[in-house]
Amino acid sequence: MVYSDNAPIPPSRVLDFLSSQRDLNIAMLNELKDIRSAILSAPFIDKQSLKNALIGGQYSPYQIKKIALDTAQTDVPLAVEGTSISWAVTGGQFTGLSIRLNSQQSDSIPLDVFKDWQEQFFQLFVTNNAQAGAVLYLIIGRDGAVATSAQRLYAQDVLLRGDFAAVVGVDKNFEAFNGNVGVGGTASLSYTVTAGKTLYITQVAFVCEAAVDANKDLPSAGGLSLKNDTLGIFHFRMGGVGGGGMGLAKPVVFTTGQTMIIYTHNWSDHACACYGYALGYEL
Amino acid sequence: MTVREMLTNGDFNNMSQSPQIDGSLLVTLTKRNDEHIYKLWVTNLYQSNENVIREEIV
Repeated sequence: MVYSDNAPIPPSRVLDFLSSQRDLNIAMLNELKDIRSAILSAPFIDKQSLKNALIGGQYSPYQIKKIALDTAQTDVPLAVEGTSISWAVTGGQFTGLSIRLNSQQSDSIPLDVFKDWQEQFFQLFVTNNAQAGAVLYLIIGRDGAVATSAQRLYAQDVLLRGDFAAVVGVDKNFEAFNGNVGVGGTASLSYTVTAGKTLYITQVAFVCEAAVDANKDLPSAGGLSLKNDTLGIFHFRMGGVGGGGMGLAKPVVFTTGQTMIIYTHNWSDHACACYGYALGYEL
Repeated sequence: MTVREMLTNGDFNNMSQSPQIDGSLLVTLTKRNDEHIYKLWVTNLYQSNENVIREEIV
């Protein structure tokens, strides 16, 4: 039972009143003890340490929102607040992605142009184009800046291309093989780049070895050519005895709908097994 | 989805092409985190007279 400050307490209820006051005092005392304990146990008396201690270590200074990009969406509201936000994409690209902060009337922030936001906000509106299988990660900080080194590595292209392809899972590796290529013949592979994608070839290699054991002791000269069949252009040719390979400092690029052909040549005087490789990624 | 559609959609990580004795071309596709091997026997790949002879998933 609650008594107001002005109303007199009936004598028959005095014990009830004192009892409720005692319970309230005990509850307050326990809370003060918890706060004191938390402050004493925190290695540094700062805002973060105090929060961690008071909430039993359950407090997280950030959260990550994952948004599937399979379907195009416009200004979808996301009820989340924080003091910073940055972003990353797997299996897709930043182009076509944007957010607005706090209001649908706020200017749109294109995610392929900017890297992060470092001020208070209390609501998000997300817009994305359709990117099958891609996921947008929003890293939302609650107390100060969030470390976003991984996203910045992507944006600045610090990762080696091979590593990048492996991380985002878009690596494409091609092998042209023929176990019995006659003198002057070739093994070949053709691939037409998927609609909406661009193929980057970053490594090439070939092997040329005698097709039959009796000729294994002979030098097996061969070569590899990489052609853009759509444009009718050979990007390069390489050759050697037995095989060879190289990484390409500047990728060979095939745009959407263009056909890449790998030729592996038998330049020796006997039949050979020829293998040609082009390794890279597709975005 | 057929193996030919996988090829069209770029839904693979590794592709190998090898001519066969019968004159067809064997196209083999594999994907990361997918233990299957997708095989396609075809003639005149990418040409107007392309002919898919057989598909197999192992």
